[in-house]
Amino acid sequence: MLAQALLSGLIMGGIYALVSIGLTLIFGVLKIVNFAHGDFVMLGMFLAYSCFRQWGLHPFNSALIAFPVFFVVGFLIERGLIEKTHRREQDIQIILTLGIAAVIQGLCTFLFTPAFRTVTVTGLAEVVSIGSLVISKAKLFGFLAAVLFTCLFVAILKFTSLGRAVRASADNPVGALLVGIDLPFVRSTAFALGIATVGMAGALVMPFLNVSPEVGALFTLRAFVIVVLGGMGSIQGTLAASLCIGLLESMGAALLSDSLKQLPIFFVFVVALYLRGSGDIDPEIKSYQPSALDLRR
Amino acid sequence: MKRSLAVAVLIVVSLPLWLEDYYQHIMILVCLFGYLGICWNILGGLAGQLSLGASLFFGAGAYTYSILHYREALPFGMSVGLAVLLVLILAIAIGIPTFRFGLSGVQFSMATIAFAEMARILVLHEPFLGAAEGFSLPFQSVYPSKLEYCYIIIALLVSAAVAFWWLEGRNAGLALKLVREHEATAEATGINARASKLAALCMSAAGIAIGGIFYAEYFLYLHPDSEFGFDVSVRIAAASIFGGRVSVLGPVIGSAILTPLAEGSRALVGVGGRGVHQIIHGLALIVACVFFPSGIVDGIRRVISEGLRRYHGRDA
Repeated sequence: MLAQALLSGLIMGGIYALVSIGLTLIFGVLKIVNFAHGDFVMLGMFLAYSCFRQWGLHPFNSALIAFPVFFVVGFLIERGLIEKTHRREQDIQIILTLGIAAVIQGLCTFLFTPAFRTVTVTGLAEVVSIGSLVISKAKLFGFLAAVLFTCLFVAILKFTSLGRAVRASADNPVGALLVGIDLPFVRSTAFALGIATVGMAGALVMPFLNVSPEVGALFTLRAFVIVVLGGMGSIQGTLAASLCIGLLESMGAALLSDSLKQLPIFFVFVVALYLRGSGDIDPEIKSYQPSALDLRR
Repeated sequence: MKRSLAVAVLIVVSLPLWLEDYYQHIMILVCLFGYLGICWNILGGLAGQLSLGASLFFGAGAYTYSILHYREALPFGMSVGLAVLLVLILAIAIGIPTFRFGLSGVQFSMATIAFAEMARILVLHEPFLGAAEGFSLPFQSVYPSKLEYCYIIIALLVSAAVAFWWLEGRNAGLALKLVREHEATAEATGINARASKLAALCMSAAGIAIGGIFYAEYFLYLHPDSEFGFDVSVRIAAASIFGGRVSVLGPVIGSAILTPLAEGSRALVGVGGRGVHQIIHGLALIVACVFFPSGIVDGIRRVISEGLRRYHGRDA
């Protein structure tokens, strides 16, 4: 029983890693407070759902479609809306992204009604048993794909010139500008990359999770919990925190009760916030930003 | 200025008398969210702490009052008093560690969300509080028509506005503003920033709890997802942010624009168009952030003064 809970917690942890690695980049590195994060997961799930209903497309194939689609959407949103709030206080960003979340949620409610939707893929319905442990194929493959894409994402951030540019502009925007990095472009691209992975994650979880327009907020909260717990911007930290949260949730469901399974998560979240609590996120970087943008304009 | 204000107040006060039932309902909602916005504004606007967990106090007030008054049959005044007391205790229990550990900005917002979510999960789980079935008040409402509710909420709104206005001009209000602008400076001038923020949180929480009690009496049905839900917190915050966080008028104007938009679209489009009100709400927030970051009241004021300046400039 406990081992089973451990296993399913680990699997969910892998999925959460893919969801929150995008937020690590957006919130932890770029300092954009994106409260619409989970709603992009939900949008990805609906994309996979409608592709499946319309053309019988396998959700894992939809994940590959989701990537470019969400990349473009993310790029446009950053360019059109979020960039306009870079110079302002973070409160404005919170409200702006809450507005974006509301629009996405409303749009999905309008198009798909608030009912829960599922996708049953024939090849993924059966279960795999390892000893006495049982895991559904859908979850297993989803987990493997999530781990693969998370690794890919980390590799992009660590080893490509784009990744280096992103990290440089987060560390020191003025310095990044001085060495010739196109700051607004890098920001938009990084944001788009984060959104794209999240959309993909949505498509990947579609075979074993229900989707309704309201699931987005849950993903957002979980992702923020994970990013804060992981130390805001640390990739290793995020991965470890994802596994912790996945485990915590499944243990909570096993030991407490299913309706209380999220309680320990929020408890840990508050404790993590208290232990880290130091006011604004990196006030130094905040004060850099306006001058960096002024240089450009 | 004074005369136009008096006329405006007179119109608003007489409005419920000649409005139809449905519009009275809208007006009640507008005033309710205006009232909640003003209360929220003590913490969110004056003290500059963006709380996204107002639903915690809203729901706690509504639930405590309903259970004490209707299940335990305590007298009205006592139930209200105890509900507000409980919410104050909650606010202090949350506020002390939160400000002690120096949470501000985004971290404060996230902590408030976490507390509200914990409350929602607990209430959803607890059979004593009705769990997922919610808590129904006796179907017979205290007043026969909506008119009385209309005037009760207008009275609440006006008293909250007066209280806010009074607070704003006093030393305590100025101290809160200084804490918002620069905490270190505030501390240097001898203001106890932590205590001021805690006081703001308590005032805001008590006001929101009373709003919750009104909501319970008016709607006669409570559900953890709607009372403690994230949506309520966002809706309360949205009214004052959209309207403008620094003035008394902001939340009222914000609610007067957002609430009819949301309710009207829900009524116009019907059941088939579920979600439209959310889209409108979201778009309003986006527009507010991109074009009027300091609120619509301030935006309008600026547009008018700009127009006047141009007009006079052309004259001269």
